[in-house]
Amino acid sequence: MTNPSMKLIRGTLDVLILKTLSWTPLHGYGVSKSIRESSAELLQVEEGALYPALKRLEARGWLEAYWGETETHREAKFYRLTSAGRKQLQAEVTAWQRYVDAMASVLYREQPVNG
Amino acid sequence: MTNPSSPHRSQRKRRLVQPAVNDDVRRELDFHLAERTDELIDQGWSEADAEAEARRRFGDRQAIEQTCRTQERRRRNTQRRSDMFDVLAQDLRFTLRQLIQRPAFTIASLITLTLGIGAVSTMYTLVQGVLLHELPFRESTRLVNLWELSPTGNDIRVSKPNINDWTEESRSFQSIAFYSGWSGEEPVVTANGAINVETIEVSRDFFQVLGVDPLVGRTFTAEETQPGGTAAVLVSEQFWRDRLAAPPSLDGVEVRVRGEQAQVVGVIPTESLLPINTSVWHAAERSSDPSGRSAHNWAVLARLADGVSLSQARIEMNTIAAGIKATHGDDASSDAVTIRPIKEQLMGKSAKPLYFLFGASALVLLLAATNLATGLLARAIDRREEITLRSALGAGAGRLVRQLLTESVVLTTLGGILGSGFAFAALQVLQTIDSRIPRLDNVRVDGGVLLVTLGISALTGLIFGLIPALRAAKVDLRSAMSESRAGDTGRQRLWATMVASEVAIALVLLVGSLMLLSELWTLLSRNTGFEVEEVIALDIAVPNILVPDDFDPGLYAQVESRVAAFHDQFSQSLAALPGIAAAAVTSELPLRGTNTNGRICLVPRDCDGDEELQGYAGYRLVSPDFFGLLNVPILAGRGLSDSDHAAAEFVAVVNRTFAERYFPEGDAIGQQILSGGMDLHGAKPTRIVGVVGNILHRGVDEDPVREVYYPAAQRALRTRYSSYLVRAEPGALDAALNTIQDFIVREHPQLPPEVVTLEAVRVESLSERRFALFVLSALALVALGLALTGIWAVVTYRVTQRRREIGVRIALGLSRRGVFGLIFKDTAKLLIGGVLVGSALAISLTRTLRTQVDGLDGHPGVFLVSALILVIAGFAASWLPARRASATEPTIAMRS
Repeated sequence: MTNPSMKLIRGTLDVLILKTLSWTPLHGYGVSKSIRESSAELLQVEEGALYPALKRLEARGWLEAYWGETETHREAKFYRLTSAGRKQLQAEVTAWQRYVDAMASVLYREQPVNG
Repeated sequence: MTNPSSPHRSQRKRRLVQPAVNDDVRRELDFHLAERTDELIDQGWSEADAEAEARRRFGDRQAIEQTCRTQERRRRNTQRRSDMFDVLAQDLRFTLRQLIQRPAFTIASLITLTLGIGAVSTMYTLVQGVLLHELPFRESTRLVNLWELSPTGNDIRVSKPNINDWTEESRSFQSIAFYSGWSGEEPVVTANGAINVETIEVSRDFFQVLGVDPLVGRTFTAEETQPGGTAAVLVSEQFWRDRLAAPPSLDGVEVRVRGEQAQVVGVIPTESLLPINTSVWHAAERSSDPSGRSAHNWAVLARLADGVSLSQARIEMNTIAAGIKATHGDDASSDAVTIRPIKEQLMGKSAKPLYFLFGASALVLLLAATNLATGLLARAIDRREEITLRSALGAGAGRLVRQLLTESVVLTTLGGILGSGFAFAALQVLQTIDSRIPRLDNVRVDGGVLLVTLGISALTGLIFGLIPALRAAKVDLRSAMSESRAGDTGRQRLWATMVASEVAIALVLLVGSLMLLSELWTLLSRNTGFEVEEVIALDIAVPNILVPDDFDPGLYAQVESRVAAFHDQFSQSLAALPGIAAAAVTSELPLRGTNTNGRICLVPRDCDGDEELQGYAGYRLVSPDFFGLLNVPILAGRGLSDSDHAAAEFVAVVNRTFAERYFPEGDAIGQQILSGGMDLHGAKPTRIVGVVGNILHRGVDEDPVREVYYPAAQRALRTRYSSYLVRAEPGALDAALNTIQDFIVREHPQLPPEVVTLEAVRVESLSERRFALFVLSALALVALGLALTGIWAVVTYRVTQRRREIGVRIALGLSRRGVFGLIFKDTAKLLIGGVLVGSALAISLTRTLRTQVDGLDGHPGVFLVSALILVIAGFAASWLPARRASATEPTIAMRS
């Protein structure tokens, strides 16, 4: 709790979910845990907010859901990236990269030499 | 990290086990909280704290759960819809592939359906266009026709004084108009020459009452509708186009009619013609009508006032008529009024035959659909292995039924499209037949008809696809593998039923059309009372140079002699033409007469007293040659002769019906009669000098009426518009037609050169029946063809099914003839039920309908002949499969 936490920039949750599911199908808890761990708890998601996002992505055809069994023998709902979802992820990553580059080029620019 | 067991397997299964929405969301969120709690416990939290912390980190569970539910529900709905589309598209693709793979079945089904649906579509178009379609008059349901109701129960035209009283006294009507109840042909001369067209006189308000606005121009002005006013006419749209070359402005457009130039002031649109064939409308009020209360000259058209019902109007009018009778006594012929909605009046006799034919076409569709069902069933059984396989692979019964239904609906919908095309073509043919059905020419296959046709088609596909589909889907592994006999018997019964219904329907239609045919045959060969052969008829109007419309009554005798002289001269020139044996004048053509009749009374048995001896009789004017030319026998006394001229004693010849009615003792000759109602300028006592045989005056399907024949020369003014009969020399009929036409064009260019043989008039008088017969025969032929195809298909199928059995029997020594016997016995079983049911149905149907439809009154022989035709045809249809069966090679059959 001592770590400075960032409220997730609105809209980035979707791309984080897609990225997380690009490795393997996961249930909602798995997605939330994975995001927490891989961002070293830097990005803090209000865990419940994940679910409406998952449903939204499913409705757009980027995810597919199915019920399965976990290693702990619990019934859980799994999400899997569809090929449309994979394409969407690629597009968002590209867009994100372009945004970051643009921001960086402004933020780290040398003092311009006048005249 | 958890791993799913196998995410890719069987999506369908997964969807089938997906939990209800609320459950789904709750369990998902429960799982999250449980796992999170476990994780925190692992990190050293106490169980209670861990649970609380997990909930805290999760956020507002209730709100989230609510959102998720909504989303999930919406997603599932969308999914379901697109799944349905996917399945439908799949089914459609599959169906089309199937249909293309079996072109013989597909084409046969489509032909069957095109005929069945096409028949219904055609008849629906007619019924809709002619009967159901709202008439093109403003608020047409408020329009009624009024007639005087005679004591004998006939509707008769209304006299002018009565119309005046009705208009004054009645409160039931918004407005009342009248028009001449006699529409007759009359020559009209335009720049394009003379032509005979239907003309009619209408009162000033006629078109206002009707609610029709002219296409071009206007209706009559007040000035044009008073005695001696400016001559003006309205013309039909068709006349305006064909004869006047459709001028956009009517300024200066004139026609010559009734001896004067009349300004054409308005054009009535084709769909609004009333009466239907009218080409020219005159203003009734221009010529004064001095006739009395018994001169029944006018048809009355009225518009019911707002809020007044038909029965209220009836009560009021009957009261008024009774009042008139009480006031005027014998002068008024009736004390009651008939009020009839205009649609009923217009359609009259046409409505019932049309509904009847529509019903017949529905039977044809039923037959076609049964045929389709039979075909589908046979195919489903052929595809038993495929279906069994599919259901073993997990296709549910619902899916299979849907697949099979898709097939039948696709077939019937295609059939519906083709059937609409068929209807379009059939209508073109029907419209060329002279049917005398009003408005038939205006009927079109329109959007509404298309929609109804496609609706009927899809419905047919659903209903008639259902039985085979359900049957086929029931084929389960067990029965398919074991080929149980029980299943077979059930199916055979179903088939027998289907074939029997086809045979029954075909039989009903066959009986109907044979009845109409035999009736028509009887009528055509009916004795008309005269010799029809080699007689030519033409309509002639005495040129108006000789007879101005309004001449001085003082010139009466002079004008009469001019008309008589014209006829004398005209008939002499006709008779002098090469190839012509004789010519005669007659006021009306036999078989096409309008039955002009008038009140007559017998002198001296008191023309005022004994009402029993007063009555109506046909009023005919003929020249002396009339009877000889037609070979009408003189039964008593003498015929008419040239010495019966205007200056001689007034005489008449009556027909047998007249003589028997009024002089049952046979003492007609020498008696005197008066025909007060019809004689112009005063009734003249007339002595009966002869009795002649009856002739059919109004067409071969109507019985002779009482008739009195007066010499044309003694009442010449009544022959201004008359017809001529001309007898050609033997074998010279066609040449004579041309000769007469040339003669008129050459010598009398102001007369229309229209000639027709009496034979054609006779055939024409049966046109309504011919139309019904034509349509019903076409339907019966289609039905017969379809039933035979059905029998053929079923017998063929059963022969295929029994191949092995037949092979065994042949191997055991059954002869070829024996095989035929086997198959024919099978066919006989199929036929017998249908013939029995069909006969019973036909008997009860014709019994119910014979009062509604002319000619449905058949001889019992008709049933026998129809059944015989069907049985023979049925055996013929099973001959091919039987031959194939008899050629079965036992060794091959048993190996298969």
